[in-house]
Parts: sequence; C-alpha cells; structure tokens
Amino acid sequence: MSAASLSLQERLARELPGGHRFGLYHISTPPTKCAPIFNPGPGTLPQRTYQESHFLSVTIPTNSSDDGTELCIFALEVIVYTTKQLTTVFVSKADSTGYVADLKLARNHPSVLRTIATTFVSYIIERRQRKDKKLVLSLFARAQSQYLFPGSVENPGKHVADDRQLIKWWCRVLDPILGKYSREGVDVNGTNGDGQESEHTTAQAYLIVPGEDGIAQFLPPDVRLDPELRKRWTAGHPLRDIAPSPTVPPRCMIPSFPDDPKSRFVDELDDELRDTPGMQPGQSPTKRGSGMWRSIKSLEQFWETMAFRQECSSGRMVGFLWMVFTPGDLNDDHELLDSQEAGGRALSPTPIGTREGQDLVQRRSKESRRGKKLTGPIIPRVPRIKSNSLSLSNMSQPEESPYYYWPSDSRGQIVLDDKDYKRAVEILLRLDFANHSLAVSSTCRWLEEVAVLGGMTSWGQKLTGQRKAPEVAPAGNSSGTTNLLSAGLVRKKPKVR
Amino acid sequence: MDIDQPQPTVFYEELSELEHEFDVADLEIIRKQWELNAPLYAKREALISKIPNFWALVFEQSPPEFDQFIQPSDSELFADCLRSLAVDRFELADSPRSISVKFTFAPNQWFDDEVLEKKFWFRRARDGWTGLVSEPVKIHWKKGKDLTKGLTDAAAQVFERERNLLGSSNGAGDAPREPSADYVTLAKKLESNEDGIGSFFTFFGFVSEKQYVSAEESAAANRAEDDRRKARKEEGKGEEEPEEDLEDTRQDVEICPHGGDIAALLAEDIWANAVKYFTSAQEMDDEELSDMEFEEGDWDVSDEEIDIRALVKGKRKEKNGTPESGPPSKTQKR
Repeated sequence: MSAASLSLQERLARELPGGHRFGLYHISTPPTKCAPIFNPGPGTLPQRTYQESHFLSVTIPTNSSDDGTELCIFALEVIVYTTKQLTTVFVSKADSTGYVADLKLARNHPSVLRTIATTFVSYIIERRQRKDKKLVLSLFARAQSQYLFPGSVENPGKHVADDRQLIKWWCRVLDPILGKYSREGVDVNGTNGDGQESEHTTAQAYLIVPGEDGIAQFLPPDVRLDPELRKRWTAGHPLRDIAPSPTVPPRCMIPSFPDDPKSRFVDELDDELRDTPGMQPGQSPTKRGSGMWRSIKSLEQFWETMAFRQECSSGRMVGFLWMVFTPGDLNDDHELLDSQEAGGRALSPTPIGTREGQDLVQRRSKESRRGKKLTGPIIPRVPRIKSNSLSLSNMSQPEESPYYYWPSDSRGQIVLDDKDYKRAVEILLRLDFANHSLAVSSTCRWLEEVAVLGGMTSWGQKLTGQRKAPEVAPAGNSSGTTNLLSAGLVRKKPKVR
Repeated sequence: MDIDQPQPTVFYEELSELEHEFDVADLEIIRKQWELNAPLYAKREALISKIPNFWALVFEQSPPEFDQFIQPSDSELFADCLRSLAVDRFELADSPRSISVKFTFAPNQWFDDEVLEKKFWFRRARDGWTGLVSEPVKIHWKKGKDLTKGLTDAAAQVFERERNLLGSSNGAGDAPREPSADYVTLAKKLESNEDGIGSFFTFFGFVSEKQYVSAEESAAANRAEDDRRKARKEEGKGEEEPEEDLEDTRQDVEICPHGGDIAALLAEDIWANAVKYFTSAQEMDDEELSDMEFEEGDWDVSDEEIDIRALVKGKRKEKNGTPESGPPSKTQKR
C-alpha cells in the first residue's frame, strides 16, 4: 500500500512514537462560498471563492488511570480556499497545551507535535490537490502565547516559542513535505516521490522574514548544509506565480487571510486609492483607475516596507511561508490559462471590489429573505441541533465543481456547516487549560459538546504509534539541532539544580 | 447674555429627585404595559403551544448576547423536550421589576422535573445596592445526566446552609464566620473556571450578581430610603447615604454570574419577541433551501459568459485528462 492512499489515522500511526496511544478528532466544513481572498483586478469580477475549514485536535490518555479520559495536546486549523484556478491551503492556527510532556519521550525522539503538523498539512495538500491546478500552502509564523488553548500558557510544561523559534519550527514542519515532490525544473524521473501524483507535481518552498536579510538561519541544519536541499527553499515569495493574472497591480496579488499581519498594511494602502481624485467616497478602488497604490508600486517594495511595520519591527518578527505545488501537466499551458481565463475575465459592466463583492452576497441573501413573506400553514422546521451531521453527510453538495474538490475520503469525521464549525472552535476558546485537571475536564467538555453538534454519542479515532525511537541520535545532526528535536513548540528547559 | 448676572444654582439633589420621579413613572409604564399585553400573551400562548419546536427555534435564533449562554448540549435538550416558556411579573403592584420564568418540559432523559420555575425579586440591600436576586432551583438530574456537572446541586446546598445561618443570627451585623466546607469546595471548583463555558442550566442556581437580599432586608432598606428622601425634601438636607459594601461576599460561589442579565434578556427580549425570532428561524430555513437550489447558476450573470469561454477551450482541456473538473452533473447529487 502506498503512503498516498493511507488514511490520516494510518499515516499518523506510522509516524507517531511506538507504543503510545493517541486520539484523533477531526472536524471539517463543506466548501462554502466566501469572500474572495484576492482583490479583483481593475475592471474584473471578484473570483468566486470557496472555503473548507479543517480542525484537528489530538489527545493522549490521561496518565492517572485507564478510565478513558483524555487530554488535548495539540490542535491545528487549516482552511482550504479554492477558485477556478487555484487552491490555497492556509494554516490558520496551531497550538499546544504543553501536556505532550506527559509522554516522557526520549530526547532523541522526533517531536510529536511537529510530526502531527507535518502529517496533517501534507495530508490536506495531497487530498486537495487538483490535477490541473496549482496549490499553494500559506502561513505566517509569529509567536503568541496561546492561540487555541486558553490558560495553557500557565502550564509550566508549555514553553512558548519566540518568533524566531517559531519560524524555524514551521520550516522544520514543512521541509519533510518537500521531499515527497520533485523540485521545480528538475526531471521527474530520479526523484524519491512515493505517490503517483507527487511524482508529477513539483514543489518549491518560499520564505520571507521582513527585516531579516537571509533565510538560511531559519532552515533546518541538514537543509542548510546540503546545496541540493537548499535549492528547494527560495528567499522570497511566489505571489506572482499564484496571482489570478500576471498583469494585475500588487494589491490584487496579495491574498488576505483571517488575522493576517499584512492585511492592516494592505488596508491602509487601499485608503490611498480612495483618496484618488475622481473617486467618490465609498466607491470601489477597482471601479476607477488602475488599482495601483500611490506609495507602493511593486511587490518587492511592499515586502521591504513591511519590515518597518509594527507587526514586523521593534523586536517582533513574522515569517511568511509558502509552498507551491505545480502539477506536471499544468506547466505547458500555464501562461495561456492565466491570460485567457483569469486575466481575460475583465468583462463585467459593473466591476466590484472585494468588500463590495462581500456586501453583494450579503445584500442578496437579505433581499431574498425580505422578498417573500411567510404565509399559510406553519410547518416548523427541525432545530439545527437535530439535523446537523446527518443532513450534511447526505447533503446534495457535489464532491466537485469547477470551483472546488471535496472528496468524501478526507473530510472530518464530523462535518459541520460553517456556523456550527465556528461554534465548535469558539467553545474550545472559552475553556481553560491552565492546569492538568482543568485541561482534562476541558478536553472532555469540548469532545462532548462537539459530539452533540455533530449529532453523535461519541466520536474520534484511536491509534497507537508505530515508530521506533532512534537508538542513537542520527549522525550528521549537529548539536545545534538537538535542543529542538524532542519537543518542538514545547521545549524543555535544562533543569537547573 | 449678560455674564455679570448671577447664574441660579442647581443642586445635585434636585437632579436626583427628578431621577427618582422618572423611576416611579417607569414602574407605572411597566405595570400598564403588562396589563395591556397580558391578554395578548395569553392568546399567543394558545397559538404557539400547538407549534412543535417553537421555543427551541426561538432560542436557536436568539441574538448572540443570549445565545452565548447556550451550549450545544443545552440546545439538544431544548430541542428534545422544552414545551413552553412563560414569564410573569408576580409582584406587579409592589415591585413590577420582579419576574418569574417558568420552563415546562416533556418527560426526558436528563431530569425528572416537569416544571422548572425560577423567581427573580427586585430588591434593595442595606447598602443601597438594587438588583435581581433569586434562590437556587433544585433540578432532579438523572444519574450521569447533569449538564452542570454538579454545580446546581452544590449551589442549592451552599445557599441552604447560608440561609440557615442567617436565620439563626438576625441577619444584620453578622460576625465574620468561617465558610462552610460546601462553600469552599464550590468556590474552588469555580475559581479557575470563571469564564469557562457553563451549561445554560446553571441559570437555575443563580442567586445574585452581588449579594443575597432577603425580603425583610429589602423592605427595611426601602423604608430607610423613603425616609431619607422625605427628610431631604422637608428639611432641605438629608441623612447620609448608606455606604456601598464593596465586598462581594457571594461572588466566589455564584455559579451563574450573569444570571440577572439572562433573566432580563429572557423576559424583555426572547420571551417578549418570540414570534419575531420564530419567524426569522423559519425564514432561515427557506433561505438555505433556495441557496442550494440555485447553487449552479448564481451570483453573477457574467459567470455564464465565462462558461461560454470555457466551452471554447473545453475540448482541449479534456485531452489533458481533466474531465472531473467539468461542471457537476445532476446525477452526482444524492
């Protein structure tokens, strides 16, 4: 059985430390229409965009007894945005509780949290790759004490990585994924790809840390030392390659994501557009003129200036990471596709900008609501809580459309609509992981409430790790790596006596 | 305007007295409104009692400030067995701000109670604080089904013990006493979980946002307040206001810190505007359906234009082996 066809559960079992038991809790949404992540080019329509959210939470059994209670150790959220041309996999949140330390793994064991992150992200990338479309993975690494597990910062077992450590951590998470694909511009034969799709697909990683000159310092040591591996990491960004069209102004090449450190900058620059002579207040930036910012004329300038923004200066640092996956048969007519399908979309008589597009969607739904007044006999509907999971699993939404790909083999065990999905994440954000017993009851509480949302009595998948601990630290790993090997985000401080 | 002319002096006391008059008027408005609406609410009750899921759908559609107190497991319970919700102003003549909320349930898997009724008295404390206070309602949870994980039971127990103690001394001027073991346990349980998620049913254990005030204490405080006002009016100067007791004596055992707000929201918004919320819940249903029906051709006319372009290139694309990226066929729908 090739690794490509394995389920998430099987993949994680292969990679996680031998003999240790884990629980997997995976929820997701159907692809749901959302506001476009790219600003539309001048005179073009916003791209129809769908988003599919995934949330994975991993637990370990509590060490006290075998009563079935569990403890969350790590969770991450990945959002898949799709348009007719592009798949964007955005890692929006990742956080640990610090209780992975309870496993008391040997120091030379590969990090559990990093393994989970690598496996899950790589799984989503493979399962959401469309044959004729580019896929880009995007994330920003910046340290926060607690993203998902409130109170976890109070757990002495959790060591909050600083910005620099976190950027390095993500590079280490993503680097193993590159190994499954051939490098851009290299003959596909003679690579170590293990899945059929991967063999034809090339992958390239990009990193920008505004205000830092090189990227080598952030890369894993083995990559730094090996020129071949090093080529797979580009200091820079792929925004031109993934843009809806190569000819649009910079503001239309920079996607924006939830909680995006560069969005505030983009918004401020957009204000320049609104001041352009001839613009009406409230008018869309794309409606008139070229859509060019006045102060920032190129992507390069954008990133240079980003270094001076509050988010990236005065001691703070953000790593912007991308990985671009290009299917083999896309390369030939790639440019043609760009110019005809995307660039050539400038058709609409009433062009609208991103926000305006969003408003439009909202306005329309409101209109339809107001449009018909309810009349006649009342047939009350079933409350949502009773109809959730069931109706979604056999709902009429097709597995694929020109705008998304949603295979049934790689959805969450519980599929929730967007509203209930947000509720599930929201519940986690209101729990408390400050100490062991609170974390156990909070884990239990979250699992119970999400089960109710999904209309299930119990859920989750159990697995036992199969990976043997390395006998000795692998040769070639210099001393610089060992301090990050065993714990990833959760780094044990050497004990002082 | 002549700036040399002395300005007539206005006293804070005058503003305060005016505020009091507004307050009296407000109470009268509540009374009148209640009297006028009561027969209509009775009529409404007769109608909505024949609509299954009415209250579950109302709660589902409630605004975020109320919805935030309802967890999925609470929603499940309401959807399963909540039969009716009734609000009353049971002290309309003396204290129209006092309210009671009565939930009626069908036999269910969670608890034995058919009716859970909670009363909120609008009272004045010795120190001048006014607000809604209540007494814990015991819920007879079935084994292993307590959505509050023992909190409502603990709250009832702690309250009972406090009241007994209060009965033995005469209330005023209590000497500081050792907190009971129940109290300490409950306080500890709640300590680090203040803003955690609690079941909606902790609402039934609510006592007060600040302190418990007995009917006697409230009556005495109201009399004292009236006397002070009279004194101010007649003699032009008043006794000193009571000093507010800043110590939140009960706060570390209050299992539902927002209970008063929830009661007010229930009475003044959710219950009062139930028909509006129900209708909007029904409209949501329609909207979702229509959204699905028109999935294929929606949003923009120009999408059709794009599809025409895609058709032109369609043949060549198929050669590349990507038939699956074509438009979804109806047969794929299950």
